[in-house]
Amino acid sequence: MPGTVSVAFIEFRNVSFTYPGQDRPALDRVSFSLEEGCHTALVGGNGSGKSTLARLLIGLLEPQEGEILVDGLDTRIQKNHRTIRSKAGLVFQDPSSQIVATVVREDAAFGPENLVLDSAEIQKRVEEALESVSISPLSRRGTHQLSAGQQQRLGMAGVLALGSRCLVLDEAESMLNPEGRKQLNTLLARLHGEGHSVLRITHFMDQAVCADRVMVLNEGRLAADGDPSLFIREREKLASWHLRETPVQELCRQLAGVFPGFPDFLKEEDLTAHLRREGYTVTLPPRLQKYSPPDSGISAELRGVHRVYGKKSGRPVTALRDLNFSLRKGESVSVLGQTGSGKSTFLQILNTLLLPDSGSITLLGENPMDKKTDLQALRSRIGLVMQQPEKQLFARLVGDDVAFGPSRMGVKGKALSLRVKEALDQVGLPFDRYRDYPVKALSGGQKRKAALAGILAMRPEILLLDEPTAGLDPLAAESMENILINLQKEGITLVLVTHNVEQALRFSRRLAVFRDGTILRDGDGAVFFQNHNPAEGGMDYPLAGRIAAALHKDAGGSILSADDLIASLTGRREG
Amino acid sequence: MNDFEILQNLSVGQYQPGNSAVHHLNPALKLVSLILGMIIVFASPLFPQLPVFFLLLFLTGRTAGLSLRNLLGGVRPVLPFLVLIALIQMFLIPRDHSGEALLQISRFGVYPEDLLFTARLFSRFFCLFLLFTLFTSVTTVSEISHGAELLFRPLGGKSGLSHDLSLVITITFRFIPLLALEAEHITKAQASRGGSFGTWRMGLVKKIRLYIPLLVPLFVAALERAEILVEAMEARCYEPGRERSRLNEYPWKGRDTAALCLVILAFFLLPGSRFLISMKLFI
Repeated sequence: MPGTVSVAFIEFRNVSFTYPGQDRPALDRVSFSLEEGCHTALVGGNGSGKSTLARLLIGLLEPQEGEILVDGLDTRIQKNHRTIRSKAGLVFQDPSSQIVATVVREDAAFGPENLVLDSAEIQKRVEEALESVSISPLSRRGTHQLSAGQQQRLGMAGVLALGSRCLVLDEAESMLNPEGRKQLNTLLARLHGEGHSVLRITHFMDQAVCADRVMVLNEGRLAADGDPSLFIREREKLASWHLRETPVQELCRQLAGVFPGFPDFLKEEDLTAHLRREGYTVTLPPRLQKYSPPDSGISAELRGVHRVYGKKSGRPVTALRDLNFSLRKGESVSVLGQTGSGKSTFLQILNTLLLPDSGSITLLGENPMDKKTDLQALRSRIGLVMQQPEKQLFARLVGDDVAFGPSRMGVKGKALSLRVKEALDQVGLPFDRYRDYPVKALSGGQKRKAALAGILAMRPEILLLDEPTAGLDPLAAESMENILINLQKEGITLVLVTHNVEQALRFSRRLAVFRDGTILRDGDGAVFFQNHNPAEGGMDYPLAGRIAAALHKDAGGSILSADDLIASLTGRREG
Repeated sequence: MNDFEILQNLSVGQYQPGNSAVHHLNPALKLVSLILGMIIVFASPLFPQLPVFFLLLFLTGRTAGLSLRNLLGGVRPVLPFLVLIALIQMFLIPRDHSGEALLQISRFGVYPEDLLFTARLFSRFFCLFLLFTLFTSVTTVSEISHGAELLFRPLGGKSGLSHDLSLVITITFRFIPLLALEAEHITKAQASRGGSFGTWRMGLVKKIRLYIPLLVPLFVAALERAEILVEAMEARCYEPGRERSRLNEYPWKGRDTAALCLVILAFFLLPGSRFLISMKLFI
């Protein structure tokens, strides 16, 4: 249209939306516009209205006030929906729930089939879409056989096959491991380079700062909007938005304590560039103090453990092979390793949900392979917090759910309510307030705390955790971590599975690195990083180590934390 | 114990990829053949029609590159039940006996009629089982749904009813592995919190009692997933009742006509032959 001002690709004008039965609006008078070809990150706490915004954008929900235009089309008009959705596609958080068909290529074809294209055109689009998300070789696989990362890429292929030029990702990476996330980032960067617009809802601050523009939603309001440097300018407000600084930003602040005037950076490459430019040097620290396990009795011991899945089917999969492991009372160990390396099976063996096919196992002095062992009682002494444990809450009220475990153990009456109180207090949900609180009304972070309380109420001697902070907003993740660190201080034996190297080291110097169903390295993290390339376990050095490695090629393995880095960094003013 | 691997234990007919003529038949024809085949099994007398039908199925399987072994591989877990049913039928159901008992064990007698009945039961079962595995081995889920769509088209093609019905079939199959995984998660979560799944002493009754409370969370999980799926489908331009097109078209070919003729021939000959034979006997 010559002579007219170019219309924004997506435009929200004073949009409000309230879910039926709720008194507080999920979105409250939100206005913004997005140009075509931009890469925008949308951040905010759990329940801040991010997902609602994404659903409004493609017309799955209709605004009660204001209007939304996508490429000039009003989302409230039903007959625009098809055009809007073929221009802007939404990829959901849960990788497997959004898949319609049972075969990969048929799922990618679902969108174009709805557009009533002819079959030759559909086939062409499906091939192109699968190619562009690099899963063409899997095109005839069953969709349930894909990994979460592959399923998420299939979700994107389904959107691309519609001919969409804009991708809206609703926390699409939150259920992926670092590898899957990395691949997703590369893919998004490429698609953005090819001219696609990207609107990315994320909980990962370090990913948000890679966008050209960030928008912050807080309690339904657009709290901030601008380029990523706003995280530096408005640092004090981050906590009130349920956000945290990026890890790099946090490190910069710690450095500023030692090197006055040290500027803030958001991205790793900016920080290392600055350090190099300003002539900072790293001197290798003396060998770190050696890790020694506590001098206590053995809690768990596994010898030569073997476990195979699907023995009856034609394709057995070896999940664990020849695994040796021992854990002392009060000791903590962080378990790292790629997806499929056997970590989850390992945890389930420690909880006796699974038993080894061969090998010996002793847990808290008992042998679960002995048919006389009461597994039910043993399991309650070894608490397992599964991935996304909040999904397993089944009672209506928080107190009842927390009481389930101990009541199955035969605890009754006053002793039972004491246990519930103790557990809820431990996770920071005051008993008086939350005992009769409906589970449904809890926020995401609170639900996870309640689920943890349900395990703690059984007073386990060993606590097994499978990615306890995955999928939580930055603030909730931090508070979860603090709860766990307190439990650790109180002397609980802890096994923590995580994908995050920094988190692993915050919990324990002892790392167990899994690969191909067995423990590749077990022991002092410092020794591991000094002597081995972390890539062999599918990981990277911790952030401080990566920064140090950029300044000194041998420093990567010797520096594990911000404190190590600060101790070994020499600035120009001293040199 | 340790039977958490629910997906592994599901014995649903599995598609066996192949490139044979049988694989490439029109899906609507395959569905029609399945239905006609079932009628043949139920309407045919025992001998010689059922063995002949079994042989025909076996030959079709051969053409599709499937051995009898992998076609009937899944029958094993069902066999004990079948034997049990046969025993009950033979000894506990009163029947008119014309002749002498062939074998007498205390008050239970085995009569020729009983044997005939058991033989019929087994042959029908094996024919049906073979028919079903053959069908699912050469037909993908999307072919089944496409075939159903073609067959339902006369019921209201314009309104998109047949499209929706076929989608229902696809999604049903999609949910099988999802529900199996979900059930696995829920049992594990309950077990780790003191539920007695997967412990050593477990009688059948206790097992059944345990699985009943499982149904509620499983149902909730299924509904939640369904809700997301609906959103995901709508996000990809799905509108109920609207015309859709297909990734793969299955044009009707010459060989489909030939196969249809054969199926119809068998349909009339096999059950019909009972009259031919009985007439001959009376002459």
